[in-house]
Amino acid sequence: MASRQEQIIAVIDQLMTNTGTDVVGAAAVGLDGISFASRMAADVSTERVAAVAATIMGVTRRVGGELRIGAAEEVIIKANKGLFMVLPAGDQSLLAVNLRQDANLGLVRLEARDAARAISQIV
Amino acid sequence: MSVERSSWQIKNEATLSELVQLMGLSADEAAILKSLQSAAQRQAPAMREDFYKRLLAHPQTAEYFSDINMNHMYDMLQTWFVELFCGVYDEAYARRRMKIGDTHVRIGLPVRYPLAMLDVAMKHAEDVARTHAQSDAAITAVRKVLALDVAVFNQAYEDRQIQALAEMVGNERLARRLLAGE
Ligand code: HEM
Repeated sequence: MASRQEQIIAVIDQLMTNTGTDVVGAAAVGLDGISFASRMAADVSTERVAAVAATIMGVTRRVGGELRIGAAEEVIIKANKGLFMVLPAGDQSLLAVNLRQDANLGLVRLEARDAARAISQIV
Repeated sequence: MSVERSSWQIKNEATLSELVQLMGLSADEAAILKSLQSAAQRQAPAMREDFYKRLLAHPQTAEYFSDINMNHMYDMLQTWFVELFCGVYDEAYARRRMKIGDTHVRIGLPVRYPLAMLDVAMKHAEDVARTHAQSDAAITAVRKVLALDVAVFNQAYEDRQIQALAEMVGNERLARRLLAGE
């Protein structure tokens, strides 16, 4: 039986395979900003990205609460050299995904949602 | 800082009982302090005088008192000083002292000012301690209760920061990690 971390890595690998070269990194993160498992480029600090992803989701949930628009389903940040996406993976964790600038967002969103669901069942 | 620290679980009034234990504030020391309460009462007006002379002479601190009833402030400060010598350092004491810390957080007062002003309180508290037959023991005791106040005052500020950030990011442990600059 693979460890929890290995199972999550397998989900992340699947996400990366299913989206071609669009996903350049991904991490499963606890609400406290600690990464459970990740595939990130060597020049990216997974620890920091994990903390930032949890912060973004926390603030987004707060916005959802203040505006009474319901539970946050995803956050997408579009920058001029890439995109960053965070979505809940169950109640206790998140999936953070780093994308190429011209990624096929429609496809990635569908695949990321599936991956988040799979991660929520593992953690 | 990915390790969960047991100190993070100690909150509110429990912080004072923890600190009393940490500092080894004994029943004998509490009794010495209690026996000095009327001396503290006599010292309080002089302490209050020095305290506000200093605060009101400094423009950045004076501006906090521009529309405040000073007689009320004098009373509250003197009560605070005399209470250092109350002899019972329990949860109710902790609650009262923390509430004072909270008041200063709420008015947007940088923590350096109350901490620096404890110097005035220290001088007068030691003057009170010197009137005791065992003055060395009394001075040791008084320094401990003042150190407790420094700790509790600071804790009120830290608690507020953690609480505000935790509310914003949705998780206290994450807030602690962000404040630690991870
Ligand atoms: C050793 C330091 C200090 C002690 C022991 C002290 C003590 C107190 C106490 C006992 C109160 C009443 C608290 C309450 O009702 O909850 C109070 C209120 C207040 N203190 Fe201090 N204080 C200190 C430092 C300062 C400093 C440095 C300033 C300003 C520069 C300041 C400004 C005020 C103000 C403006 C209030 C009234 C707040 C309000 O009710 O709106 N204090 N202080």
